[in-house]
Amino acid sequence: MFRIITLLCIQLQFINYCYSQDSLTIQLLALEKDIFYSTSDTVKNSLMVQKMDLMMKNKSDNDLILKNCKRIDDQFIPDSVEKSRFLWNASVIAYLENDLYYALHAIKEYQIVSNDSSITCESLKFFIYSNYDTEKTKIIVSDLIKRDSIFEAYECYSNAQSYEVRQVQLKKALSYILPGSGMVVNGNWTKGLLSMSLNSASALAIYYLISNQLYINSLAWGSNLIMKFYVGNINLTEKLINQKQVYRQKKLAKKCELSINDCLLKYPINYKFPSQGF
Amino acid sequence: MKLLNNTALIIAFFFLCSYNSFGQFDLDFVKHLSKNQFADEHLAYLESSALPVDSMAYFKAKYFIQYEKDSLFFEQCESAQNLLTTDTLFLRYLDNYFLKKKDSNRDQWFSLRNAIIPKDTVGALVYYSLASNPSLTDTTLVPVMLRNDFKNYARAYKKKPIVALLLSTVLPGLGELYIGNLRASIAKFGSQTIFGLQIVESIYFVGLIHPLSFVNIGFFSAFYVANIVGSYRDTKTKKHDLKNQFLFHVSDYYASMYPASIY
Repeated sequence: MFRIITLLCIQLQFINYCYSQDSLTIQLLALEKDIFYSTSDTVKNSLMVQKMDLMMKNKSDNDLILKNCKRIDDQFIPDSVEKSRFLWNASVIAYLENDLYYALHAIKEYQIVSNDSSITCESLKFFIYSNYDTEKTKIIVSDLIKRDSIFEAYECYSNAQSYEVRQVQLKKALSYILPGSGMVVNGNWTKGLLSMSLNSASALAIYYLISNQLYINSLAWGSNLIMKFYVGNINLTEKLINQKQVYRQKKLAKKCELSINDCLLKYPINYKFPSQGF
Repeated sequence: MKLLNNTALIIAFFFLCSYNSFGQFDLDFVKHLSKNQFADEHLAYLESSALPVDSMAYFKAKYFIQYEKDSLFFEQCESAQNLLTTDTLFLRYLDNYFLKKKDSNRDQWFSLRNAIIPKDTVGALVYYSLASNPSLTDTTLVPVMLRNDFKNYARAYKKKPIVALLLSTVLPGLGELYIGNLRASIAKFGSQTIFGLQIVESIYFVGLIHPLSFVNIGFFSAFYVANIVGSYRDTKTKKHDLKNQFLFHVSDYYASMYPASIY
């Protein structure tokens, strides 16, 4: 009886141990312990890369992966294959986390270490640069189109990003001269005409008050209405111009989305894990 | 032979029990996890460590406070009381932390702290007690750096919302002047005067039974009532804001004067 109970207890403990070892956090903790107790910088950094790989494989939160990634000093990764793999992953994760400066730094380092000028690499560079360097983006896109015409989709995306609404200054000036006309020219007919009528009604009301010698009323209502409707019309025109720009950019980008998806299916940008190789 | 088998089994059982945990607890490693903000690994390490109940609660309390999980921190406090009282640095950290927190959590912490160390007559607890009734204190006892905030708060503390409400009813803007908001007082009095003049003018030129007079009277009444309600509310808000500001600065003052940390 005693033997059976003891054996059952051992079995339970073993199952518990096995399950706990399976959990990601326990594995990450074990790696972190190794990192902490390791005295060699090379071993430390190699373990940190292992930890990053584990997190990526298990789809941990991108911000946690990036935090871990930023601890790694690539100078202490002696193996060039391992180093370029790390730099690639760092660039991808930084791009996904919108840390573009780090992403750009990592991809540049990656290209120095690996001499990689593959389509996938240029494609990742395109996504990073498209956020802030239009000229560089255009160069990358034209290079990619030369290699495969499927990348014309990127040109469309790049154009969408740099799209600007026409005659912005004219629309703004019109809203100062004739309230509501700026909005009408921008394509917002209802709002423009409403603003025009409200401003006209206000002007008429003030004229009526003055003609009836109601000077205090004309001054008080005039200042209130002018502030509300005239200045409001100027602000609204600017807001609507900006809204139009964002809307058109999104619409154009949406048009390109399907073609970009085709590009990414053909040349996928994925993390690089040790077994994959190059 | 049977005895040997049983002994071997018992040893195997205890081996697995101990192997399941991560062995000896290492405070430096906990500090490392805390510094790098590895929240999941930190909690997993604490849970896998074979610590006594009070120590476990103590370290979990530290963990929860680092990640601003106040309610979970309070859950651990009861078991960790003895260890908390001996950790001056952490107590100071908690004082500074809760002085900046919302009212309910701040009150809960300081009542708990009072229960843990009832004879504590120095530190943030004193200022917390002071903030609950500033009119009783001599301002010269308050450090120079905090005196201005304290004076402002003590002054606002004396103001009664109902008085502000009555004063605003008598004369628009007077309630705001009573609580020390000079600009708001001038603005409210000015706007109300203009509305009044508009009414007088419209009644004089177009008569009382006229849409313009109705509109002017309507606007005047709406602003008049809004002023009264606003003065009442502003008195309460100002008192609350100045209390928080004072305690916030107490926290900063203590953080700059005395070392405080989680570990």
